[in-house]
Amino acid sequence: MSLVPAEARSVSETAVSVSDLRVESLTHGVDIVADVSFDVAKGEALGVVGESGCGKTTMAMALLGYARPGTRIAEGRVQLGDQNLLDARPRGLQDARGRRVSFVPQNPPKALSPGMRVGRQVAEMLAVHGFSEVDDHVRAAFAAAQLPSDAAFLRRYPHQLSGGQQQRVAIAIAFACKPDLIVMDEPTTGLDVITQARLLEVIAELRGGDAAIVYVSHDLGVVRRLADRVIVMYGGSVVEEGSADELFRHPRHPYTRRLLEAIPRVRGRAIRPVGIPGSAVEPWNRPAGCVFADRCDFATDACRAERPRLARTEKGSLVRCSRLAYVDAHARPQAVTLREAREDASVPAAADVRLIVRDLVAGYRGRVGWRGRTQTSLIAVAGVSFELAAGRCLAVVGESGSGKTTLARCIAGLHAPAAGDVLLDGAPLGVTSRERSRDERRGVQMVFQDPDSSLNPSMNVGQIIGRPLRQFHGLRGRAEAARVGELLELVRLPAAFRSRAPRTLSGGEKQRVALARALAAEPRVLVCDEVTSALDVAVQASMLELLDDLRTSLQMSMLFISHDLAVVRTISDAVLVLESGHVREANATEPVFNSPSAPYTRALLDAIPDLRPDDYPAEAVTSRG
Amino acid sequence: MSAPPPPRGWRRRSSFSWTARVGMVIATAIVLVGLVGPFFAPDGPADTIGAAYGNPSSGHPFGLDYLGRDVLSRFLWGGRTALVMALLATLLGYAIGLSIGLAAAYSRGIFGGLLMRASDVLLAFPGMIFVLLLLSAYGSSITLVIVAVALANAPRIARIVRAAALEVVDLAYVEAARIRGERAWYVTLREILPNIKSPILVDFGVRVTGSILLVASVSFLGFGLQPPSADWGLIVSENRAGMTIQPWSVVPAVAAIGLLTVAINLIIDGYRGSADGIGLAEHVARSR
Repeated sequence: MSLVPAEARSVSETAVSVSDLRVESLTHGVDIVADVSFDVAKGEALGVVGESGCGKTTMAMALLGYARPGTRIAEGRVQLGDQNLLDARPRGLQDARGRRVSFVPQNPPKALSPGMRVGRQVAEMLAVHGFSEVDDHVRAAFAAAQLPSDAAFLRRYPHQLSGGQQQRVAIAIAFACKPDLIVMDEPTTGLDVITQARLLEVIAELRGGDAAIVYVSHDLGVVRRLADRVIVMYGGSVVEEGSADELFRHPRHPYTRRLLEAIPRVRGRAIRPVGIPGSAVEPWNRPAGCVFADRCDFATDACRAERPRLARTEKGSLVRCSRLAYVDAHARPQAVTLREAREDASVPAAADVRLIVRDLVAGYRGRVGWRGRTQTSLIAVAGVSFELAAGRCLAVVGESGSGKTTLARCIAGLHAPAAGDVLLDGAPLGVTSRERSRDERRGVQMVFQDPDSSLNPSMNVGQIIGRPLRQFHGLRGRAEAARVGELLELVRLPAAFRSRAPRTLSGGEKQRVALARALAAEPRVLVCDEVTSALDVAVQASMLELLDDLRTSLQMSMLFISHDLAVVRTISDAVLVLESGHVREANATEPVFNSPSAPYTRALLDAIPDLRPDDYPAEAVTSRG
Repeated sequence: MSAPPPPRGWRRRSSFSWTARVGMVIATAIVLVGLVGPFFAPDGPADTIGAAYGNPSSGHPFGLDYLGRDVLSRFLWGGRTALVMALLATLLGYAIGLSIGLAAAYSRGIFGGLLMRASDVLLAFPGMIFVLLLLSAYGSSITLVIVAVALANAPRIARIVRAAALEVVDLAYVEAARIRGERAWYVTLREILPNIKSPILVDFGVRVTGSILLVASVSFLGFGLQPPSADWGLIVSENRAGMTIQPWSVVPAVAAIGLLTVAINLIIDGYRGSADGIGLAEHVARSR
């Protein structure tokens, strides 16, 4: 389903023209964004994609003439009609912001002023820019953002709105003065898929007018749904630019190809995503030559020596690669369909049931009111039952607040359930970890969502992984060190990492160390709570590959908690769909995706912005080896 | 793959504003004067040099005190005892307060609540009143001054430690330790304490200097060191009567105590928290 209105494609009058934009870091003395040029036509939506740290947010801010403290817009033009925004004096810039360019930020609760009624926040923008009959305009802006526009709603404060409504108010503010350019920086990140789908529809309808949209996102599915044209950024510069259809179907740059292969899909054939080796290059580590050379399969010494120029291809797109002809001839998608992957992995038949959860009920009790007299309780998990066999992966999916994390915490022994049983290998587990025996604790280990808080910052990697070895296996000294090395190798990290401090690791590396710590106990069941949600797609794909391989090689059972159905499809054998603590659907993975039985599952699946079935690497996936 | 090299011109953001650094310089200077002062004192603390309240002269830049002793020498001698007492009192206070704060943060529930309510009762008394209450009930001795100052500090320390530990106690690495079934002492000492050390160190420094003031005040009121010992608080108290005749007899001691107060407040106001720690200025302020 495309949300791009047909008439928008034919408009070609330029709304904004960006040339030679360069933003430098004053503290690091290096460029964060360099050599960025593009035009956006009136009514056109330009998607900007890339991994975190590629400079996309810095670039988006520069379009408003803004550079974060410690950085500076060193050169370039942002031409809006007859005005170059980067030449404007502070006063002129202030007039232009909101009137000619506007911004929708990532985090709506922080973007709206908490002490001001939402109606006034929109009215303020109009009044500053000299609009008359402000009240009518405010109501029109709210109606356009598909919000109620009655007086009672306008008098609400931001905290009285849901996250999706808050973000729609931010959009109403951005569209209020009918600016020429609207910059959106990950406006749907952090929202539930269903809320996100609704917001994307609002944006798609609003863009019928003349406004050009620059939509920055790490989520390629969202960009695919919304954008007419796409820019792929890596290492601070544009590596590929083209029409959305062309770029997603026939990517040319090696980075774009790998990026598309890293994305898990909900629709069409199930593809096992492939990660990109290495991690995204930091501004101070960028090589003199091609920024992607270190991770590129086709890089030569010439690539590393000289930076390639953005060259126009015969199809009209722009690609920054000096070996394009060779890449076109030799690049083969590495993704395989999951059926093949499953056969490769030769999963043995599910013999023994390892984990049984029976009628689990869990909640939180709180006291509110005068002297805590009113007791309230919240049921997070309302009678969930399932079985998990040896070497299998069960995914638990649901939106935030569905009770999936509480379920995981009950099984791990961090939260005491109110009722129900958890059985490991047929024997009931203690309610909390304190009441479990040493073997029971060893049997269930967990990997957490946030890589930054998963590792004790005052220990090094060797100490972190060594602790469970000492505790559960009594290893000391050389035996401990040897096993730490083995575990690091198991999670595909160099053994030299043992002496590294957590703060020197990237997010993906931290999650691997956290995984090694859990594996050190040699658990029977591994609970993974949103372990990839904080990672970039390329890193996520590598992590998923690793988890899948370890599960089969170690015959470990896995409980995979996630809100991301596409990720779940690539890794799980069966899926449990939770909604407000109740199981809505439980089935093998592919039937859930191909013929969902519960309406809630169908709504979730429909809401996911996905690539299209014929997008790269669709046509070549079956031809492996 | 190797660790990312620090970028050019890269410097870690300091946890302290420039005013806090000025405060640290002043506090350090005064503490140094107190510790090494006796080595530079021209005369002994009890040596009578001339007439009472003698005016400043070349050999005695601050003149003589009410018994005709050299003011400069007594000032230089007078910091050491108060400093040592303050240090001991703070260490003792930390032994008590740190244990209570960590225990309260880790266990929470009824036990943690009970500990904090108990320390709230002590917090209701201003530190000075609490110390005087103990000293007037049990007589005055140096040991009791130390214990009393430690007890006055302990609930405030417990508050700060608990506040800092609560920020850490729910993080994933602590939960991972709980899943492994680690004992309480391991979780608190290895997983929590090292990661809250920077706010605690700041608080420790501030608290030592604060305790110096408390000890000096106690001496001024006559409960601490007894004459003829030299002590800043005592010096001010002894020469009070002749302040109009020979103001220099109290100026050095008053200046040291006054500057120390200013310095402590500069440090507290200027502490912004650090990347691994917690912005504690408000906790410190609230607990005083």
